Amino acid sequence: MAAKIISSDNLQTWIDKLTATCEVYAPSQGKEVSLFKQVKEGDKPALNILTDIPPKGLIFKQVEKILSYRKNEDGIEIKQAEIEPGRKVIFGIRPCDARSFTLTDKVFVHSDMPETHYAKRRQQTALITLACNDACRTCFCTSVGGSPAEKVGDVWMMDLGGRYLVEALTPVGEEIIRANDDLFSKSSPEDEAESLRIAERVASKMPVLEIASAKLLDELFTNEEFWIRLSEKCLSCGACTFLCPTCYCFDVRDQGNANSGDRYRGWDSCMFYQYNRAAGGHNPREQHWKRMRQRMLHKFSYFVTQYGDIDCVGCGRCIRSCPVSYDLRDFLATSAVAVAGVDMDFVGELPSEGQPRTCDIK
Amino acid sequence: MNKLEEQIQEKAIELLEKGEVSAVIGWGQGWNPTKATPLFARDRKTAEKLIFNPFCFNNLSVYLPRLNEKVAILTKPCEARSIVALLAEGKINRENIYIIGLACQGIVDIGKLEAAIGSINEATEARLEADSVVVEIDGEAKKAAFADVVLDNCLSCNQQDKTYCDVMIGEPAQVPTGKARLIVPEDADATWWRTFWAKEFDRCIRCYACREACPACYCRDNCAVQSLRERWVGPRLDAKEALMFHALRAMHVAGRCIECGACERACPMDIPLTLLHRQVGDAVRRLFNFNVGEKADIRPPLEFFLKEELEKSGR
Repeated sequence: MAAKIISSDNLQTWIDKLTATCEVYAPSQGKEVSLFKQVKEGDKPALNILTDIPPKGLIFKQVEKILSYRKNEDGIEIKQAEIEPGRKVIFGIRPCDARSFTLTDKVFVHSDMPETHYAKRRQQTALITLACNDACRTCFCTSVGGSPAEKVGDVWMMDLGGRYLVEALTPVGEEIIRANDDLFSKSSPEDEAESLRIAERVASKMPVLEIASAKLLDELFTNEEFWIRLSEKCLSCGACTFLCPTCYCFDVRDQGNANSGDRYRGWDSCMFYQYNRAAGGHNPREQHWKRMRQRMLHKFSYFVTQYGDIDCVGCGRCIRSCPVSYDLRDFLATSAVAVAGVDMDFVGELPSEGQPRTCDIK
Repeated sequence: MNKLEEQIQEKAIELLEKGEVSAVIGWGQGWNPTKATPLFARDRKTAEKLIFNPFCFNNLSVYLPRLNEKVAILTKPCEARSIVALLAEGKINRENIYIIGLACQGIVDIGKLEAAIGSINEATEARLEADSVVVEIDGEAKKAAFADVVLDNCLSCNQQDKTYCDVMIGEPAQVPTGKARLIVPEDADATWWRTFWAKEFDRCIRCYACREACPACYCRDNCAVQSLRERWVGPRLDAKEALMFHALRAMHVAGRCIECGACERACPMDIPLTLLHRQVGDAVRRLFNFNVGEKADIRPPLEFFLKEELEKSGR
């Protein structure tokens, strides 16, 4: 399907019409934090922001019941928890967040043992992606395989100023547009050219970071000094992992007694001590620098080796939310130098506009 | 670089080069000019990056119970009380710590600042100019009165001339007077508080950033709420379970918490935790006539009980 044009007024009508047929979630600026919230007819989403909280939890719930058990005369009755029915649309999701779902799909959907709750919700949810017209100072999607105008999701849109260029990327996307065909008009080659110009301008605002290869980073595993210095100021809380769109680690916990109870599955964080604790009390990652090493290497080495992509979309939320203002880009810069076998200084300089983030070499 | 920073760096380099300490814990420039970041200076070059300005909001004493080496620590007058509290509890060794007190003119509350001038994420420069905080965003200088954006704690600062330290750098400064971030109604009763906290804790994502940023929360990896045996907090994610965690933490740090607000500033969901701790702190002051962080040789009141107290309670 060729790209189309929708006016800003019609965009709101489109959102309103979508709310009549499915649950629509869109960015919302709350008093304290911004997040994806369900919109009702007439609600105006905050399409100009990158939300503080990623939409990850709409599909991969932070905590959800997976089953209930009860003892009766015949033995133990187990009831699987049902997934809420109905179609959902995530409207105005940024390309980085949309990309995060495609990465988590590799683990939870395209695997020998699919995660049924995630897979089903993913299937019943359409993503309407909004390309970025600007980059935050914490954005670095272009360095980790994405782009501010990446065509990912079911429908792709870009704000051309008062009007949006819209393109269906999947059959589901085509269906969504066809259902409200009268709201769209034809696009011109000039619109396409303009979208390319915007994409290029936004991408050029982000410095391209040097990232060491998965193999070289893996070899850095035994360089204890590097990891100890790197994580010196880290408090080992879970803010970065819980606000990360791609972190997908979970834990399973029961609540109840021998006769009846519920089983819950919820997010876990590799930054927590308990995450690694094994039965019998042994903990292979007792010190927090080992946990930091796990977080970094999982994203930039192990996941790459196993699935072919970096498990980071460059949204910068971990940087923005860190209580000690730890900058993930410092890790990328220092590790890129460390793999080259040079001593490094762990204090990066604040990059000036358009300049790559660097670290000093002694 | 201001004069205070010059003196800080000079002192840090002196301590490091004389071999008196292996590290100086201070602040360096973070990714955003309104966000300083903790800095562990272990050599001259890193020490030359130490800064001190109204954006140095982290309470650095949180690192002390973790370390087993001799370090120097930069501290604001109020947060030196964290160090005193840790000494009183026997959690740190005085001989292993060299305390550098800093004259402080007040610290900016990022929450108040954002309420005044909007998001600071894109800030390119930030400074204190006379009585205003000036933040440059997209080439535009946005201004807010320092008194309006300073931390609530700074409004009642009376620590400037009695900082617990080995050396004091800078002259005691005048701290501005202003309004508190949240005003609790005078007739707030249990019902009001229940409604208030139910709404606030509904946002809690249980990342435990509040706990990890807290110098009094040194149980770290053995925190009761994450115990794998006794389950004090259930697996569900709701305001009720979150209240259980925060109430448990508030009670555990009662009489030990200096109300520095590090927990609140660490919270990615912007939950006003200082209110909770201040309320518990008020109760401790009322019941035990005890001010945490004043003396290093008095154990906190909830760590022991007196025989008379037991008799008085009628048990």
